Amino acid sequence: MNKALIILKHELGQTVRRKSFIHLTVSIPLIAILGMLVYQIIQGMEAEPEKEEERIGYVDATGMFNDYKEADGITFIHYSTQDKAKGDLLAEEIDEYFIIPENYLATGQVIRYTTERELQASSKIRQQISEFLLNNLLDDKTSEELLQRVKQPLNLASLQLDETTGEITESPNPVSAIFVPYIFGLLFIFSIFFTSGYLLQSVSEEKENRVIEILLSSVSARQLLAGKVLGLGAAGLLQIVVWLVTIVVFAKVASMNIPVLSDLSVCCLPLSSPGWAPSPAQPGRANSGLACSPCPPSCLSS
Amino acid sequence: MSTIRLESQLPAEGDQEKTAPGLQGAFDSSTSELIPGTKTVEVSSVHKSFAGKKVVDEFSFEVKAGEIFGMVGPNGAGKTTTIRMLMDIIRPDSGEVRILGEPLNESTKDKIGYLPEERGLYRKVTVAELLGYLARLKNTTTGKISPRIDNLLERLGMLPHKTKKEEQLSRGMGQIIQFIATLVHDPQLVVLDEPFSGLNPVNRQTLKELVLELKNAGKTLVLSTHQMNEVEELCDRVLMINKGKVVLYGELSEVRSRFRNNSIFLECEGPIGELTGVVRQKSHGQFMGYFSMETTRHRTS
Repeated sequence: MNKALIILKHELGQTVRRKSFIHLTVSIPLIAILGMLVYQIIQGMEAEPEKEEERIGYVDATGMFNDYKEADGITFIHYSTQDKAKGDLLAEEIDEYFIIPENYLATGQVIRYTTERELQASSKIRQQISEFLLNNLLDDKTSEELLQRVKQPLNLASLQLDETTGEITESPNPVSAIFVPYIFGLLFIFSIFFTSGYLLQSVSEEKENRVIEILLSSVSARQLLAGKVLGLGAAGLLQIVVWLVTIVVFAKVASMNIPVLSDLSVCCLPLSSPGWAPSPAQPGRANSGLACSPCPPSCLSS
Repeated sequence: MSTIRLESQLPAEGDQEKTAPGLQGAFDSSTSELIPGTKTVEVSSVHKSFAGKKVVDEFSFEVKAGEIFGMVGPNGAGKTTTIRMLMDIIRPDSGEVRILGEPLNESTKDKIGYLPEERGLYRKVTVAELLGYLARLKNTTTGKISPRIDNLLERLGMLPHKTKKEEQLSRGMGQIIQFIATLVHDPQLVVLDEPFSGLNPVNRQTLKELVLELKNAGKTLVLSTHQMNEVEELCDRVLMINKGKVVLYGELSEVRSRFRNNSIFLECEGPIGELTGVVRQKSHGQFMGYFSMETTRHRTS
């Protein structure tokens, strides 16, 4: 057997049995698991019973907004005066209310009132109010199909053509094309840092233990270094594999439990989406050309 | 009044005990590929300098198969540098080193067992793992490694410590394991650099017995020491070096016959007084050299 290979096996075996290596390899997944547990605990402590339906009041000074009061999970309640709406809000009869002023058509301004402390209205509320306004504005003025297009005018599918043949080429998942190199690069940097530390430790130990001269009487310096670098590099790769498996498993579990992560699904990773294609339009959801097709957690189990 | 003790440093031939009953059979003479008398090591006009200082100056010597060859000299004489050049750990500036008839290469390295002057072991590795690893590095056939390790450990009383790590062993036990590591691949040529330094008396005797048994098994040995009595006790031929130059080179019996009648060591308390036949004297630090009419030097300390 090649002597560098013997040294490789020896170094790999010795490194993976080091306490520092085991601690480092296991600590990253443990931190991830702990983070998820902490999140779950905090969520459990802060969890409020979900409202079955949100009630939003409005005061219409234009007289144009009388229909489409029932939307997905929201009911719009018309008030004739702001005082009544305000009274119901303070009495917690409604969750919030907004006023459509007389000059709405000229300015597009809508004034919203809420008792909640917030930086800005949530995207869900903005979208629901926007749809309510749009439905009423275009009612009886256009077809349903045109209304949908006004609501969602762009469903962009980008395809790449081959520069010479002009044929459509299969472009990689843009998200994986951007993030996967970053993730792998980061992991490799970590690995190189740690394994170079192990190499330094290994060489200094051999010098300290005075074994180096015995080794050099059996192998050349080049073989010794090659065996060490490859062996410790293999240990670093093993560490990366452990971390990657952890990331995938963690992401799978986390996406089922943490809503934010379900949108950042790991379907973007090549491990779980070998054949990405632009996603079809989804009703009620804006679709950006750069967005990865939202993938349910179940995509990981396939 | 002074007292003078005369002590011959060169025992008569046949005085040395060349058998080691407790260790016989540990080394198989049938594995020796060497034909007695052929040249195992050939060093031709080897020169080495460090930072302009000549450490090895035009060394030329040969080691014959089946003999114990001693390199003797004080600290800083160039013994370890010469041995490191034999092992290809450092390269000579000029000259040639041939081992087993060819320039040192990967194949010949596998036939050499080397015990360096600065020696140690992996502290976190078990004895069996360590010996197996070193044997594999010498391209020992896998099937032969384990039986050979067991055999050597058993014969040297170390079998119960096979699964222990070096850090769990005493210093003396570690020394024995180092010897076994040198011999685990059944080498044709064994190079021992200052093998007896730092050893306890028991291990010193054990190693001497090992050396003699290796010789009986047909192996060639090169050992360095700064103790002349060890060379006389064990070696067939000797290379005496000092300050990077060869002072003496030849058969031990020849050296003995040349210097036996003319060289004596005197250890005295107080003035030595007048010696018959001394025509000239010269101070060498703590030694005093006395020269007879035949210009043979007598030394006293």
